[in-house]
Amino acid sequence: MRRRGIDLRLWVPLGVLVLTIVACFVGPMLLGPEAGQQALGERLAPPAWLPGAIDGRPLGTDAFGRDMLTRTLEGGQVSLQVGFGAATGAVLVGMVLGLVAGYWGGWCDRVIMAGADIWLAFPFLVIALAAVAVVGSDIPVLIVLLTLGGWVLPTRVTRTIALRVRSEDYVVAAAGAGASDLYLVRRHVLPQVLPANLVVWSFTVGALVVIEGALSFLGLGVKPPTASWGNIIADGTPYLQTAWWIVAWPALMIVVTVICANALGNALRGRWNAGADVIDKEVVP
Amino acid sequence: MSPVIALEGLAKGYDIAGGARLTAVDDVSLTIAAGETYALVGESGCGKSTLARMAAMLTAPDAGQVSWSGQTVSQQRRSAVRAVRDHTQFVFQDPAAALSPRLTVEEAVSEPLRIRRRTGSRSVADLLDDVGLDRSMGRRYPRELSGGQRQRVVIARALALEPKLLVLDEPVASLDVSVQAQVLNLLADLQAEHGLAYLLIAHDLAVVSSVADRIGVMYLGQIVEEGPAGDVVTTPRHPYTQMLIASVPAFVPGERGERPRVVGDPASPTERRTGCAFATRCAFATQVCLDVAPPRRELGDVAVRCHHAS
Amino acid sequence: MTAALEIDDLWVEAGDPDDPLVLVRGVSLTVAAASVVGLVGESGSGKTVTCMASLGLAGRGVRITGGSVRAQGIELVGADERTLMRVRGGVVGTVFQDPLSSLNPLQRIGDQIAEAVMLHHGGRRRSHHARVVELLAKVGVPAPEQRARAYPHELSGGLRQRVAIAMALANDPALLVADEPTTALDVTVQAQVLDVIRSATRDEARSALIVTHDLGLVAEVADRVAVMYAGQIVEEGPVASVFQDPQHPYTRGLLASRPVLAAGRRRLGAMVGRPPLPGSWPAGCAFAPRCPVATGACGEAPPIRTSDQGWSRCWHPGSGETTATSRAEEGAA
Repeated sequence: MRRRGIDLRLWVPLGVLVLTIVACFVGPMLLGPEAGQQALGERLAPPAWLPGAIDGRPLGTDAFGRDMLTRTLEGGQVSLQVGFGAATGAVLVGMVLGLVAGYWGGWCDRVIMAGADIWLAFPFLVIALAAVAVVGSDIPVLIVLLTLGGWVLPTRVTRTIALRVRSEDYVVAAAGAGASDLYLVRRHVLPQVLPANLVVWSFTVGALVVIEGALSFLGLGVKPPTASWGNIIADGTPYLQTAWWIVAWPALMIVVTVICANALGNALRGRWNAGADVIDKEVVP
Repeated sequence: MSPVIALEGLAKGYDIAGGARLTAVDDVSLTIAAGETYALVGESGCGKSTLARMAAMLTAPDAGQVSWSGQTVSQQRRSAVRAVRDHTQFVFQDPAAALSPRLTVEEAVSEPLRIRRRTGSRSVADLLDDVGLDRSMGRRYPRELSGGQRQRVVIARALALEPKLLVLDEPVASLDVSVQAQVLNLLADLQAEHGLAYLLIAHDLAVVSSVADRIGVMYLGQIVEEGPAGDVVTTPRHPYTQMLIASVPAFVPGERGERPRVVGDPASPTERRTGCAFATRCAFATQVCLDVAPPRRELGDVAVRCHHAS
Repeated sequence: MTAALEIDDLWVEAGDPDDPLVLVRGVSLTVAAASVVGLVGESGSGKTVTCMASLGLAGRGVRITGGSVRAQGIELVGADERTLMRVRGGVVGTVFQDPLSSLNPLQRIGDQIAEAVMLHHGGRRRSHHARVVELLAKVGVPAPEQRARAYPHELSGGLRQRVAIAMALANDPALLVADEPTTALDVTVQAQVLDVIRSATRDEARSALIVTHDLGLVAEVADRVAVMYAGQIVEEGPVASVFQDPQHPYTRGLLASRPVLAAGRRRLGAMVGRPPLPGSWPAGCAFAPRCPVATGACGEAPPIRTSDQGWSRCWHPGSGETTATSRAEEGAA
């Protein structure tokens, strides 16, 4: 698909993601504050193409008569902030720890990798529950929490690549010419670690959007009335039989976001071969 | 004048899985003079590459001492370490792995100078000239070059800091036959031009005999025979050297099949042993070979570690 | 008497059928009964492709576009998979460069050899035990009874290659095809494996095609040698005459550039340039740009000239007194 014009496998998911982000953050402003207000007279109105629909509520309304389009987009603000923010945090933390573990090795390596194993052994939801109970569930808290949920993968990928690059002959040659560790990391290791971590970042966004949804669904996310895809689904579950659209739109958004994030990751991996084998080995499907 | 490099009693071991210890290099001493090519010959696992890396200060020895033009270096002194970097450079076996895929030829050749933040007396173009590459190659990436061209780039990079000694680890083993000779001749020209000393690591005695002034034969971490190349090749004293020479294809059809048989695999470098490491494969081994490690003995210009050589 | 292997005007290409990459162009080569032929060439010369395509092992995307290959009289080009399977391992035994990749790491070597026998003789694994031990002993594996129970990773490289040879010989094939059988091995071990190949061919009147870049190996084991360059055989003949009086300047260059064991430092007879890769073969004589005796005539495809018992593909065969050294060193690889 490449070489002849543009690479659709890369640009389609990227385009959809950008569109989603823009819609979620700009859309509610265009729709005006009124649409998000409760209007008990307009409860559970169906989407526009079904009988009983209300004008100006194209995706229907929820149990409080709020416009589902506005709610879904507003919910996206939280879910995407948390998903993208935490993925970025996780990759940054992972790159630092991975470089330390893989490049310098020794006891740092043993401590970090043991930490990763122990961390994975803890049930994350229990930790999240405890954390939310103690410090509440603002967006920054959720981002930190999910950063903790996602740091292991980028750490492992970075460590494996750093370990390999460090012993490549051309890195040894540069060391043999008197290069400092900082030079070697900046000049030879980072350029190989970065593209791989962009791929990991993509996959992590997808994974964390799902986890954020799950936390919110369980009531561990942002507190209502602030919407997030997860708590909209939770709120809509009792009406699944009568007003399926409450659950459907946020669920659809989660699915689209995750598929696009993963497709983007796959396309990037195909584009930069560097680290592809490492990522394949570390990502357990 | 002190030799360009002197190794004294070098030893290096590695801990390997299962708690065993692998003795890679065991009490090796050698010296190389300016303009001289010293070739280390041996089979895989004999420790020659580990020795080469210690000579280039890429690996620290467990015991023993290396002195570069009379200077010994404690690892702490940064300026002294850098002096060694200027003094000795390393040329790798696989030129594809020795060049970063992300750097152009020009960037690769100038990298040592960039690292040291200084300008060499020779420009990148001069260095490319030296190794017989067209200046226009400077913009290319390694993947656009042939194996022979890549190895020339690696050599040019090694020359950038104007070293006195090049450590060459199997520099032609991965190249096509018709290109090997070009690179070997290039190395000889560079040596004549710059008065370089070479420590050449090789497994191919035929290659070694045509380029080396002196040859050291390594077996399981020790130099078992060392001397002027002509003596070692024509009158090998150590049974292992004799076996190596017998393994070189005769190249004259019809001579085949009439050479001493070669037996056994090299013993494992992890095994603890008393006596001579080669005894298990040696046709002349006696009880003393199994009991007592043979000391280094001088026989004229040649030094041998064998109880029975004469 | 049927030749063990007859390759006749073999053409092989790869890639897009509309814009193919030609890998082998018109190779003809005969391995007579009970003779050993060395196929020599550098990287990109097409030697391995010739050998693999002949056995239908060239892999995806590589196509035979012309010619025929007969092993013991059985046509292999266009043959169905059943025929090919019967031939491979039955009529033809194969040995590859890397013995580790041709052995299953999870299976005892004895079982693997027994399976090779079963494929062509049926029966049960147990019943072939004696044959397995006999084969291992034949290729010089010490303590064959015990070694049959070993896994590949427990053996040294030399022993693994012996096991690979034993597998190739499992069904007593008339022809042994070996692709760089000693390249991955240490020098002393190479010599031992050569001894095994020599006894497996000479002592049992078996034919062999040995594909290699190493002229020394050919001198050691082969009766005839074919030299490949840019997808064609440029010279073919008895080893003794080709080595002593090479007709093609490329053969001369190869022989001159290969260092021999002797006292004293010396310059090697380096050829200029490097072997061209498929897709960039010069028109006319492909070797002309590197050739010390090339003339204007070499722009045309050279004729085949037969000599004593061989032939070469050159406009100026045998004009070798001004050897390749004379023009060596100008310009680089």
